[in-house]
Amino acid sequence: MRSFRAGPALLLSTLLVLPVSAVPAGEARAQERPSAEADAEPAAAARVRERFDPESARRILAAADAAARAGAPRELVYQKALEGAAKGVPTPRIVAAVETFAERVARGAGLLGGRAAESEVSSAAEALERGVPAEHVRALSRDVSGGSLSVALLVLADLVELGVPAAEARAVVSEALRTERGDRGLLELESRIRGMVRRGATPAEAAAEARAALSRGELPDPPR
Amino acid sequence: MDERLTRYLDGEMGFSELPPSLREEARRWQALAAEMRDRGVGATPGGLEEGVMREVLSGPPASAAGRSGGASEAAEEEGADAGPDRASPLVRGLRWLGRPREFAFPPAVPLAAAAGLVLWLLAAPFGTGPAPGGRAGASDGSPSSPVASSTTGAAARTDARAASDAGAAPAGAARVYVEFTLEAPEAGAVAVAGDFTGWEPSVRLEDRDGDGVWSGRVPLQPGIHEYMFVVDGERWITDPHAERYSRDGFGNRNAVLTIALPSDGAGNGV
Repeated sequence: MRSFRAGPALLLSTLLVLPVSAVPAGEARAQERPSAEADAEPAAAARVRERFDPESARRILAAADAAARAGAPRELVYQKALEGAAKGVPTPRIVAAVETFAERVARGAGLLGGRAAESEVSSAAEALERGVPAEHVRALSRDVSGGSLSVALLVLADLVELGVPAAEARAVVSEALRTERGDRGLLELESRIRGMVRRGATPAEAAAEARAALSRGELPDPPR
Repeated sequence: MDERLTRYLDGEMGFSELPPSLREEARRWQALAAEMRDRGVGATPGGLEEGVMREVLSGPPASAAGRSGGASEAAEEEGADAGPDRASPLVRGLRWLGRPREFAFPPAVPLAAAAGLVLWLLAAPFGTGPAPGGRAGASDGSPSSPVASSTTGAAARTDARAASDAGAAPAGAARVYVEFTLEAPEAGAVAVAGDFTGWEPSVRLEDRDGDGVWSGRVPLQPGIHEYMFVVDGERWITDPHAERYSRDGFGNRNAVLTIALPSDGAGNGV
């Protein structure tokens, strides 16, 4: 035990300084958030109005409103428009692409129900774009409990693009979710199925073999 | 004895600093001290010093523990007790706040507090990596030419190395530092634009050694991100070495980067 001499004022000021200094730290964390998340919807809408002529902006905002009625975040639509503007795409082409995109995210949101996160709606729309049938998107969203639906939909779309029949692709992804593999496990699963295909298996065979291995609690062979 | 006389005999005051009324007494004390020195009276008996040190090291008696804080405190408190304090309650309160107190705790306590403070400071991401600044300078990097073809001729390489600071943190708190790298010897400037920058090319890559390889680290949340490289502020280039691609709806492809939670299923491995 050691003794230290200090005035009560010193101790009180020390106790006050620590919480106050936590405020800048919190602000630093907030400033580090990716801008797409940090910006409120009105800010993105304002940027759309700044970057586009009034008629084009009106059509973009209307497309966002239509998507929102289906449960999709308006932000996704605004960001797609701003992406086109940043890339220097001619405005008429941006507006047409945004309207198509808004329809797709509205469909995705509708499949996932009303409480889907922005990233999940985006992944659902992307899965539809890449050829995953709507019923498998909806079914997979029901299989996810606590994991990342976004990554599951991404892997599902990857497997479908690889040539795995959609039903088999959904089954193997659902099996991985059931066995709580997590996002990394899902990505690794896809990598191993690709490896099996490289070694000569058909995509359907590889996915079926991986699903059987998962259900037995075994691991598919790693890719070579 | 007058306090000034004590200070003079202790060597803290000069003789000339004494008032004339005390000088005669000071001379007498000095003469007495010199005589005692001459007669060897000042020598301490054998073992006295060791005995005193033993008592000092064994600590004060319990009744005196509260007084061990030092002479200044004792004198101040004695002075305060000497008579009624006529100062206002505010002044007395300020005096109380400013008066040193003695606190006793094991040295492990301040060490643990210091370690906690250091950990807290490390957890706060002050100035770590280039922060995506999608809103700042929104129009500065806007390309003036149409969308670039995917066949740009530039060799590109991207690494999703990284250096997670997330540990077992939940998704909302996690950050993964991703290093973007593009080999573009002819470029004068290279930036990354993606959904994490609001598609503004605000994350500038650097080529510090001039070898034509541009790189930069970006803190990203786990999830799925799309991005492209922007060369010289106008050429949008798809990363040819990305793991995945997504059609951007404008006739080009975005690279897709997937960042899994570091703690999510990491130990399960398929």
